[in-house]
Amino acid sequence: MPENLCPICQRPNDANAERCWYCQAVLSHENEAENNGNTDWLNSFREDSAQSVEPFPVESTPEESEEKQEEIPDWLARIRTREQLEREASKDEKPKAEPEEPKEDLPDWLKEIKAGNSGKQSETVFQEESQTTSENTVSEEVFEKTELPSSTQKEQDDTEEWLSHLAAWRPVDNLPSASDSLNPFLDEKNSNQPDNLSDQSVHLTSLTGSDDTNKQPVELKSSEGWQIIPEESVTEPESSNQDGPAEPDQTNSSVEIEKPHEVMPPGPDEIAFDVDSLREEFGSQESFSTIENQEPEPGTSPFKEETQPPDSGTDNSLLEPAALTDSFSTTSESTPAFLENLPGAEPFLQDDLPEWLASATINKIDQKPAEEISQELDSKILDANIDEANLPDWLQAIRPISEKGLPEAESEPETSQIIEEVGLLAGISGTLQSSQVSGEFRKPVGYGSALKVSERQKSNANLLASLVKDNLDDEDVEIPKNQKIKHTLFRLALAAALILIILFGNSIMSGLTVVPKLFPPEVVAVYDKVNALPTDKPVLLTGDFEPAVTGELSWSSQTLIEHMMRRNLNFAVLSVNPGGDVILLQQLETISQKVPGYDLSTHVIDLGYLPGGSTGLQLLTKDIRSAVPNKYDVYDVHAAWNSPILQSVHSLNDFGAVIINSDKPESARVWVEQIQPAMDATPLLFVISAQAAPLLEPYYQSGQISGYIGGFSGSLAYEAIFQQSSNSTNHLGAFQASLLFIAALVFMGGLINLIRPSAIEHKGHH
Amino acid sequence: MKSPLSLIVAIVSGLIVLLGYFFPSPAIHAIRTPMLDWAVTLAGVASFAAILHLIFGVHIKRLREAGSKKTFSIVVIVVFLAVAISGLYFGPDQAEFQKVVTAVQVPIETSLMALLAITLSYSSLNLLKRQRNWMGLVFFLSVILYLVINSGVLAFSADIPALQNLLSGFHQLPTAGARGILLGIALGSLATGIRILTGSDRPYSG
Repeated sequence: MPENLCPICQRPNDANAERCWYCQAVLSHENEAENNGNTDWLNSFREDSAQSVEPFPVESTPEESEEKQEEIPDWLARIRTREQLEREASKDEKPKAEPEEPKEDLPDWLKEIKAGNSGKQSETVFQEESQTTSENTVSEEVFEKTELPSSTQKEQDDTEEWLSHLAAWRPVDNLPSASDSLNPFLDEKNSNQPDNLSDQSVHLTSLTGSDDTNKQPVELKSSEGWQIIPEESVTEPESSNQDGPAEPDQTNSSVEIEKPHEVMPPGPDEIAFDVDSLREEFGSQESFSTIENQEPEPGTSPFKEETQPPDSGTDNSLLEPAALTDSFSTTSESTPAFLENLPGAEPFLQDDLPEWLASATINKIDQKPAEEISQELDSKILDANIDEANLPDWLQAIRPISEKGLPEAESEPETSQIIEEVGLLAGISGTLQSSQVSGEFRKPVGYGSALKVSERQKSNANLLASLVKDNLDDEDVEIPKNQKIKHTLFRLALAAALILIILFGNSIMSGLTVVPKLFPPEVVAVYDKVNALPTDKPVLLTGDFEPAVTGELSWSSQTLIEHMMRRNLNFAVLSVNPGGDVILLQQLETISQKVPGYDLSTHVIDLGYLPGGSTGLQLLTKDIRSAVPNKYDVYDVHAAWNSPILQSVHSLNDFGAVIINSDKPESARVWVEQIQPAMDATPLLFVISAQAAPLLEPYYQSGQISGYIGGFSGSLAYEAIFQQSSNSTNHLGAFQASLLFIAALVFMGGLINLIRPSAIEHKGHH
Repeated sequence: MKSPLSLIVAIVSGLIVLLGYFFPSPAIHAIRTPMLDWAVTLAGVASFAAILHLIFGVHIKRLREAGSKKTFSIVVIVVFLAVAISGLYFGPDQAEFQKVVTAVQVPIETSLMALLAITLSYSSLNLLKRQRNWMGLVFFLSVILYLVINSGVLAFSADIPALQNLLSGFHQLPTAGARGILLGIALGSLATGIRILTGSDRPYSG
């Protein structure tokens, strides 16, 4: 079984293993590397990078790379320039940088890099790799190949994160796979540096030790000297760097680092690292790193900073450490990391330091927590130092909230200019106006997740709430107890007066009763229709009313039913309310006592209750025998349509008339709409409550109904036409007296309210 | 779409019933009549379910809850059981049973109507207390005028043609208002029907 040696701990592992069983280091696979030119993890990074920067391809032709080179940020340009100078100055002093292996031993992918075809390397893993390389040997050529991409802000963030991880460097002994640390820094920029590539090949070879573990890179030893850096110098930045975007393998990398570090102490040949000098050098960029690790200040737009392309030229203040150092000097102490002009104090040879590190700075983070630091920052200074971002068009278009596009808040009138004109505060400006306050504040209404409420419905609900607001507010007004008693007594007195007037109205108004001389035409039409009904056809008497109006409807229909009984007409009683037919039967029984010789058992059939409302009525018009198939006797239910009364009835048109007792305009309307179209010449008559009579008048005027008796007045007119005194005529005095009393009461109440101050003024004074 | 089946059933049922109005063919009638039968049956079942919910879902549940007022719930449950058992035993058409039911139901509901009359009378005193504006004043005068007219005390106007014409004109005013109301109801019903037929409104979706 083939084994794969770990490049870190040199222990054999399974050939299929992705990571070392002992130290969890990433194992390299030569075959795949040969086939693909890279490792699996690099492919995955490449895919991620391709997805993330798909609209903005990182790959570029050499011509494009040259253009992008013009867009390199200043700080990176300085780093490169410095690195070039250092390289030239120290070229002769670094014999150990010579390659130990011939170039022919390089893997294919590395050859491609040398040939300048490494532009496909993803830079999204820059952050992670910078961390791993900083913890191990990092060839300066590797970082020479790296540069901040100028196309996307994400890459810029990676660079910033990379610097942060550099500050969070912790010495370890184990070395990750050199390919891990190398590949992320291969980008298209390499093709633009063919001169350096020849020199870099040696060091690149040293970094590809994973291909052959026996071939330890030459610089590996020199880089081991980084491991002696005491932990206290880097612990703080490491924690602060947690704010940055976490790469997928970042956690794993930290695990890889710390385990070997505990097992393998620094060797005696490790090069001492002057932390203080590094601290001094890195301190120059402290503020830059601090800003990265800080929470965004309220009022500032972190989105603007993040999305600002590095090539805009206006965001250099973010990348220029010097621009912010002064502003944030109070938060940290800056020290240069590497002092080139002090050779005695320089802990590394020039070759030992990668070029990026030689020119880079590191932060010395204060012991203050990040939140505390962010509170100390002056947001105004921060805003002043941060130039406005020049967002690309595509980003500006998809930006959810455009600060420039936001409509400016409506400038409310200057309250200081408002001068109170009346009241105790008259003449004082800046008073809070009640008109500004009223209606502005409402308790938020939660509609829940199950109820889907549209904006229009919400506005309607708010409108309704505002309409009833005054009434609801009145409930909050605490009424004094004596006033409550007074109101109660007044109500009782009013009820007693009404009852007395109704009881004794006839005697009081005996000589003052005014009998109507004119009869409403709808009542006259009913009388005429009843007189014209054929005696061989039954009358369908239906009830669609609540028991509460039984008193009114019984009086209104009494004379009409008596009129029909006197004509010896048959009745079929039907109700669309459960108890309506029972009430009607009782009424028929009562009235029949006034008509001698009229036998209910032979003239009346109870069809019972028709359920379904308007649907039942619709069925009644289509197939009445199916709709109400049974009749109800005292002890049994029989087939209704076998009785002699209904034998000739097959539809509503076979009835002599359809009379509906109703108390609601809605139900009357349903009857007209559902029944009337199915009736040809059969009269449709109504006995209706006075409250619904006005809405029936249009149907009468249009001819959809033949006539109706509306309330007490209608029955009174019918009695007058029928020339038979009944309940309505007998109680006319009480009726008129109670109506006049109520009219007088309303008039008096209105006058009093007109004279008295309004309720609003009354409430305002209180 | 939440429930396409219910939407299809609603639209097809509405179209069939609507077509029955305009095209009274036997085929449509053969489909329409059973559908209406089902609707009537469903309405009865719905009423039964509502009663069961009132008893078991409200009042019996209230009996189980601590701290709630249980007196009226007990009354409701006992009366319901008494009426249900008597109705099942005697039959709903038994004369005595019907008299008992109506003797309880009619006075109670009539007394509620009487309370409404007194409440309205008392409220009419404060007619101009809140709405002291043009519309309030018009409403105030209208109330008084129609109370007087409907009382019949102006019957002497039959001898005065001018007054009679004036009162006839006043009688037509409610008719005009009623026409407006009915037109509004008709338009609203039409819009609602169209919304249901097109699936825009789904009152059956719960």
